Amino acid sequence: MVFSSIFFIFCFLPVFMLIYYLVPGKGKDIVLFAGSLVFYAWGEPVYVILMMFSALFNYYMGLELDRCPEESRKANLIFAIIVNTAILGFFKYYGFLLDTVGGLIGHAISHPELSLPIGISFYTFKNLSYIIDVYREKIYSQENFLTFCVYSTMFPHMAAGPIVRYADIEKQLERRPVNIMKFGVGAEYFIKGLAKKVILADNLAVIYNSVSSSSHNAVLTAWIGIFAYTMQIYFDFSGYSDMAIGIGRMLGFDFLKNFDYPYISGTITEFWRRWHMSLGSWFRDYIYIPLGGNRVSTLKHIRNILIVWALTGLWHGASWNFVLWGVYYGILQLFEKYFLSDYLGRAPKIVGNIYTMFCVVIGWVFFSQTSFGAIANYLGTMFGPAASGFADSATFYYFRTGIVLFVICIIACRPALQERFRKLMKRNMPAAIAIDAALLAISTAYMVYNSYSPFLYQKF
Amino acid sequence: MQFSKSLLIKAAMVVFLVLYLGWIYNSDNAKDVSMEDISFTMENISSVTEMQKRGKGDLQRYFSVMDTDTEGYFFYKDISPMSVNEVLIMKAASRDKAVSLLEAAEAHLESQENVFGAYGTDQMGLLSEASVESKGNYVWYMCGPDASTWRRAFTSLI
Repeated sequence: MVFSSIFFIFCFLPVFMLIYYLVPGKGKDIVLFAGSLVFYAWGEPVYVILMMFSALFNYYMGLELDRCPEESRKANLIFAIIVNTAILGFFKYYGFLLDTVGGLIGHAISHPELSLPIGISFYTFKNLSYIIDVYREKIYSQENFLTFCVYSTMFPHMAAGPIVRYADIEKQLERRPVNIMKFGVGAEYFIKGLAKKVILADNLAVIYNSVSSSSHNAVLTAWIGIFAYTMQIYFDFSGYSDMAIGIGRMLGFDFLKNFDYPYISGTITEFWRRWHMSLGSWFRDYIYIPLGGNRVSTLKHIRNILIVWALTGLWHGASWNFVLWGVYYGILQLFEKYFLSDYLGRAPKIVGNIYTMFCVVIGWVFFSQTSFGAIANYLGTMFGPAASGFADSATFYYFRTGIVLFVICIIACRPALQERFRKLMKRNMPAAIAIDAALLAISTAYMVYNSYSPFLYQKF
Repeated sequence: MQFSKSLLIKAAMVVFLVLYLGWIYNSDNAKDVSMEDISFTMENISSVTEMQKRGKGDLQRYFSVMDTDTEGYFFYKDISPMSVNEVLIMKAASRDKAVSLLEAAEAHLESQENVFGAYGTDQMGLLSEASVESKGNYVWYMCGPDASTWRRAFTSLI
């Protein structure tokens, strides 16, 4: 089940919310847990068992870490990490590993492809953060299995994040007041996210898919295509995050934001502080800092950055293009840290923003094209050697059909529009509600008209 | 005692996980069978060959699937436009491609139900029991009085 579907918005969500609001006290936990199971089982009933195993295993290991003797805590932590990463590895990296080994020995190893359980990367990382935080004694283990299941399986952020940490919602798991104000704010987040996905991202996808399906494009066509993808992935993923945060609010939870207008960044380092913040902070706290962070020699710092970014890339998918994409960002950040920071600090913000957006757009080529050949071909088209010309009739077609959408996207990916909306909400609430209602109506019309369109990050 | 109990629980969880993953591995996958072998087996069933063998034009016409989107296909469809009998087996290059082929097959079923919904009682009966499924990289659409026989013959191959 996806958030941006008629069934979810007009059947599942209203029925679920009604029951959730009617049931008092701790009964809400049972409703939320049952709702999460139904939501997950809707698409992949067989993988509910895996999700529940992960919840049960990490619940038990959390308790075990709290009560075992000091000398066996580390062994328990390692055991929990191995089991969690083994599950992720089995579904996500097993084929990739065999293909890589086959490539190295020059003999393809045939293997069946397993379908990837939805949200496995997100819930595995969420559960790992819980286990590591219990080990570090930042939190106490949760003794109530139902409460832990609510955390581990909660449907709003199950399929595509954000990676909500137990420490951030520990108190809300015990007690979370729900009221009409929270519901209203949550609904507004949800509608905004839905509009981002259905009105903007899905229409941008049509342009990018059309451009990338042709192997001979003009230079400007390739730039239009990758610009469309740049906007698509932002509105798709931040749209999902907004919807997840919105549903969370309606349920009484305050999830931390996952995006903070990344396309206004003046440096790549700043970009990654604003993009997929829950994943960035996960890698920072559980990989980068334990490796020594930046409080080590220059060589070790370079090593730490490259390891973290290669893993960040690999987290996104079992394919070398994602590793390349991650390492690309690692190298850019090292370059900024050791060479560019002074220049960028002194330059006007717009210069930094143009530099950042240029690097980000190039980065999305590595991300969206799944083979090195396709990456080289697309970059070759963008910079001339593989292009069929500078511009052709297709270029003008894409420009004419996409220009209005592009202008809306450029405005919507900056904070000014949201700030104006917030002011309107304070000054003239009925007008703000009317805008939300219009966005919901337009999004619904798109959903009725369009076919099934899952979120991009759901496949990670 | 406490130590051995916790060790036992952890071992039990690992054993369960291994068994579950083994089950997933076997149930979610299909053997790599060539389309020639599939054709040979399926064409031994008389109710299949009573229909007409169809090519890439009909694949695109009825299922909106280009033959290049598959690694091979087997397609028989009844010659009568009033019949809903058809069997299509497609082999996808990857799981992702199999998902979109399955969507195409489901869309065809929906379209058939829309066409015959108003007047075709017999056809609707057959459509309601049609087998539209996927296993591994294979996707199939089977509709007809013998659909369950076709399905059994095919799934025993993979």
